[in-house]
Amino acid sequence: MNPLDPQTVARAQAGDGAARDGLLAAVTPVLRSFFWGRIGRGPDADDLVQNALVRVHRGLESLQRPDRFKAFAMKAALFELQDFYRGRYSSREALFDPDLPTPGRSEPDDVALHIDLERALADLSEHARAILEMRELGYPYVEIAEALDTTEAAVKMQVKRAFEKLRTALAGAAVVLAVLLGAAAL
Amino acid sequence: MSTPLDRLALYDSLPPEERAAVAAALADRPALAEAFARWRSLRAEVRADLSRDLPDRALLVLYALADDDLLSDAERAHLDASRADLDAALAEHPGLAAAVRRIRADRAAFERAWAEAAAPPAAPPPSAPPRPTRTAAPPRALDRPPAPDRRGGAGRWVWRTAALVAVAAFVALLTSVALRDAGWETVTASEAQTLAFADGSTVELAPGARIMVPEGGADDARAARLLGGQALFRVVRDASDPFEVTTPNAEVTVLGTTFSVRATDVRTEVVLASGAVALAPRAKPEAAVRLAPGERAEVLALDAPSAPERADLGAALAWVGEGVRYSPAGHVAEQIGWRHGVPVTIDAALAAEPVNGGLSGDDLRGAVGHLAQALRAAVDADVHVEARGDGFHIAAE
Repeated sequence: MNPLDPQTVARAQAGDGAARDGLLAAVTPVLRSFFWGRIGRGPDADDLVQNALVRVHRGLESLQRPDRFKAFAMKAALFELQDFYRGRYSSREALFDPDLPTPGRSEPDDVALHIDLERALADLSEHARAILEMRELGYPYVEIAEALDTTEAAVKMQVKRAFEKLRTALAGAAVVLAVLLGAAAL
Repeated sequence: MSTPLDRLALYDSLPPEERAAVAAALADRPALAEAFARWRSLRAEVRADLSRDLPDRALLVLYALADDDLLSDAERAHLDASRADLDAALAEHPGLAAAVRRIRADRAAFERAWAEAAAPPAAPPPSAPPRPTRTAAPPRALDRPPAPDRRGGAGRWVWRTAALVAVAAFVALLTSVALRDAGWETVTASEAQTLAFADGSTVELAPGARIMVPEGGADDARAARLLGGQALFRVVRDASDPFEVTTPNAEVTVLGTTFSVRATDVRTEVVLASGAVALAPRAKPEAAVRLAPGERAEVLALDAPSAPERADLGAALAWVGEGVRYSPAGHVAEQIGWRHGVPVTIDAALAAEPVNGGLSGDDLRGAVGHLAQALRAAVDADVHVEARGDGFHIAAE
């Protein structure tokens, strides 16, 4: 008996514990192989496998077509992977680390050294924007490189250039401000 | 080597110790700190824009799969309702379009994993001589397209070094597994089998059960690893040294009791006959639930345990057959009554008496009679059964 065939899936949906256990056991190596291939082996991948299984288990009753179980399991895995990238599995996000000092005038609406962030974003190339956006979606740089068909080093170089561009703009704004303030004092 | 500016730009990918160093360095460089603050604001702006334009991340997955008829009716309706906003977001954000491509690559990787799992194992190759490793292609990750061969002489050394590192990592893994399993022996029960621990605890294995136990009954190890199958543990009480049973996805901490565990890779069910146990997913001990006698609970994957509920002990432990020691008799009477939907009570003087015997069988009168018989043997006195209301009462003379 194939534990993944529609009849077995239907029995699992109807509450047959053995069918359900067989189904979950059969899909486990698929999920393991998939997550290992995407994020590498380790505790995170193990957690992804387990939580994808929970999704499958909990959603099984709502599966309308037992013959579509593969698509159903695939979506469970893909949703779980997106949750992983979003940071549900770790405290990955560090851009607003409360331990970091924020000296100087850094509020976006600061009048003296106002940098229009929307404009700064618009000044970025589409490639650089794609990188920064994917990064904010939670993808690691190596996967961003794969998605954009380039190398991790090239991706990081783009990020560094974007930062340097912003820093230069900031320095230029400071110079302009100093000139304006000097002229006003005369 | 990365410069301080590089580290600021890539701050989000730095390990914690480097982040701390960056933070310390910024304290003395206000201009750089200002630039970094702006950089963080820019990144936050990107994130806020994405959240505003794509509030539901799951839509991205549905969008990526929509063209291949992989969605349910409800999913397609959800996607259709959001389609205009999603199209606008994709047009506005090149990163979202790249993420969709990535999700489609994820989908292809899943299809390959599914096909590999479904494929019969490859037959071993005929006895051809092994190919020289120098010409063997390096293994590829599951989802990586084949990369063009850009290796020159230096590249070969890179691959060789990488291969050596991979071998070393594999050896380290094997060593780690060997160290973890050192001092343990694995037992696979081809038929019902009972194992004894040095402290007097025992475990009865159902046919097919696989378990790891301390080798040679090491007297300081009150632990077992149930790898799969069903087992009944009778654990000698030692409040200062709990007995621990681990399964692929759960941990059972035992305080002296009789309980059954049924485990697969993803599901662990515990039925408690007497005493007390705590059940938790592995690595999440804070999610533990404590079972009372006559209760069952299960852990699915790494989810929190189900709430303890009344168990049908007779059905749950039927595989053990006669010889199960239920303690105390009051619990057995309660179980019989619950199973048959009538009150079965017992004299207070007898309620705490441990009794032996199974609960299988559908005959109420027979089950009550067996319990009385077991009590007669236990207390060496006459014990009789009397009808009381819809049920029965067991009393001593």
